[in-house]
Amino acid sequence: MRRGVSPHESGHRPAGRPALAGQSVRVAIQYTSAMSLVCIITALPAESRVFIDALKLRHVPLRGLRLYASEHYLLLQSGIGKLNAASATAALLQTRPDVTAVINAGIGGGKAELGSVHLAHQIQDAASGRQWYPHLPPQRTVGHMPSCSIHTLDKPDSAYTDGVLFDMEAAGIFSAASTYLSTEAVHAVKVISDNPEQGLDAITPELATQLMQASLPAVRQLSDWHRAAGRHGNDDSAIEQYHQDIIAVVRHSVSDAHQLRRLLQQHQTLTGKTPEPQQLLPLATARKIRLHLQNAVQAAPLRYEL
Amino acid sequence: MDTVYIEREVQSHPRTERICQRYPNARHILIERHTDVFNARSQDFRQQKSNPALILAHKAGKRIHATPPGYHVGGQHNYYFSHMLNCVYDCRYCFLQGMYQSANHVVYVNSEDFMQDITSTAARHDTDSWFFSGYDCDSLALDPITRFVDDCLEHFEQLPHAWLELRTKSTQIRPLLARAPLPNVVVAYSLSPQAIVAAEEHGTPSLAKRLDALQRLQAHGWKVGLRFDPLLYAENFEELYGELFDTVFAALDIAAVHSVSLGVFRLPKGFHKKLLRLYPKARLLAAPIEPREGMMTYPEETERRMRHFCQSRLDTAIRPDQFFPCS
Ligand code: SF4
Repeated sequence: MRRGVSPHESGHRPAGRPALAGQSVRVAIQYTSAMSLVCIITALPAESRVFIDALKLRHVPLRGLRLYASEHYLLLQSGIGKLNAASATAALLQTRPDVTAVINAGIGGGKAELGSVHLAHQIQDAASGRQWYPHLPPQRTVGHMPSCSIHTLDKPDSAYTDGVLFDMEAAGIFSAASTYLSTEAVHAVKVISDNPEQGLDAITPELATQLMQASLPAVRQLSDWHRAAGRHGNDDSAIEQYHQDIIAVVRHSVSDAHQLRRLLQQHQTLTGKTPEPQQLLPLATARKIRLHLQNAVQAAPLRYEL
Repeated sequence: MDTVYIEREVQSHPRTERICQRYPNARHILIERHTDVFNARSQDFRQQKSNPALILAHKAGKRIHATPPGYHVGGQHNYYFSHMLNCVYDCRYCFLQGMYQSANHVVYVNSEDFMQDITSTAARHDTDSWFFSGYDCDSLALDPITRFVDDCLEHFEQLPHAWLELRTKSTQIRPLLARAPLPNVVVAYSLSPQAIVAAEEHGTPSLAKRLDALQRLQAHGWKVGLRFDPLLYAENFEELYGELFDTVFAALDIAAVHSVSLGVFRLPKGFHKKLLRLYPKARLLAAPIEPREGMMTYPEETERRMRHFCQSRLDTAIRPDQFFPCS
């Protein structure tokens, strides 16, 4: 969010989605560990609207958070300021461990063309000096968007300088999200809403919504990049499921469970498959299962062949 | 390189300017300290490896370090230095993955300070001292960008009592072929059977290409070294390594090889744990590996058999004074 958008409009609702008292729409989503769920975080409705409409998001109730969802996206509207942004982000990530990336999208002020879209390469909390460096995606994947440093301010300021954008939330979001996610998975995309030529006073909710349109492709590209990168990661969901199935039936201590997972991984690597469940489950104790798997792993040859 | 971070202190360094000119379309991002980016918490090494950034920095503090015991090729005074951190290649067994949070490449552009420290370290000894490059990186792989080898060679030309080992898997040997060989420089190649190169040494030149580079270096008069390290266990170990030795012996003038060393796969416990987290399905980690003397390695008997096989094959081709087993 950028100073200048009235907090009153935080109650604004996107056109076409009238609120019925007490009504909310629950979106049923089945998540697997291999699925990438991107959460867009905005400050205010004027910044959210473009995403809610374009990504067909629906409101979902969650512990007093203003949250919208579709199958592959969440949108969290945090409210204005660093503290609101930090607490909403932390609350979300604590309750939704299925969120694999966060993109802060909003308007900001800077010495750049009105409506231009910028990807943050550095986020600095102006009050504390704390800073974060998101690991940037390859330029081709985000349409060669210019990058910038974002200074998150506690109060509005119009001392515009080259290469620096002002906002009021990014540092709060990065501070909370970096506890849960890696530097590749937390980003900020800002659209210039005020600059030396057109100051803060000119910003209206309508203008903010209009400007935010330009950020939609960037947010989509970042999400696509994140999903593609996730696909190259370790998809251990099959082994994880198998592991869960066994420890649900046969009692395993923490250390037993750890050894079981490792043996299943080795078995998969050496034989190309997980063991037959009917061979393991009748063994009935963690120790017997472990011995069986150890023997199977030892018997499987580790060969390198061209 | 798509993103280049530049420490403010080296912003106007001629090497920084030269490297930045090479990447006019990259994002050039000015930073205060490279550690702010490189050592940041919560980085995903594996994801960064697919699109690493370049960090141009100044190396302050200690630049030359004593090598761990056993890391030598016959010299008495042994040191290593790291003008770069991290590597363009992606060997599954590489300890760099357990060492750093980040897969970004740090290049220290103040090579003049490294050279000065090498000179003063060498001056402390009456006998020859050895300096190993390629401890925290591959010595040659990024040379087209860093041009560090030229700086090094010019310097070692003036230091006849200091030896330089450039350890590599890279075929970027143009700067070496472009000049007369130096008697106090060894270009040492890490070699593995091609099936292991393909499975575990991702992105590295094939065995054939490394041998071709070695042949060309030998033909040009450079001293070369062979590093069979790490030896990886496999059920078909003897077949794999037997064939490797046959190929190497046939391709090179073995009598002229400066040194041959041998080391079995071993990793500090913490690094091994991190590797398991990063690559739970890696084949080499599915081998029988156990803790021994603070390291994770193969059972003693397995190691003994692997070493015995290799040593007996090497004995048929090299002289004892060429051989250095790594502990
Ligand atoms: S070439 Fe050496 S430094 Fe590079 S990844 Fe492989 S083992 Fe590591």
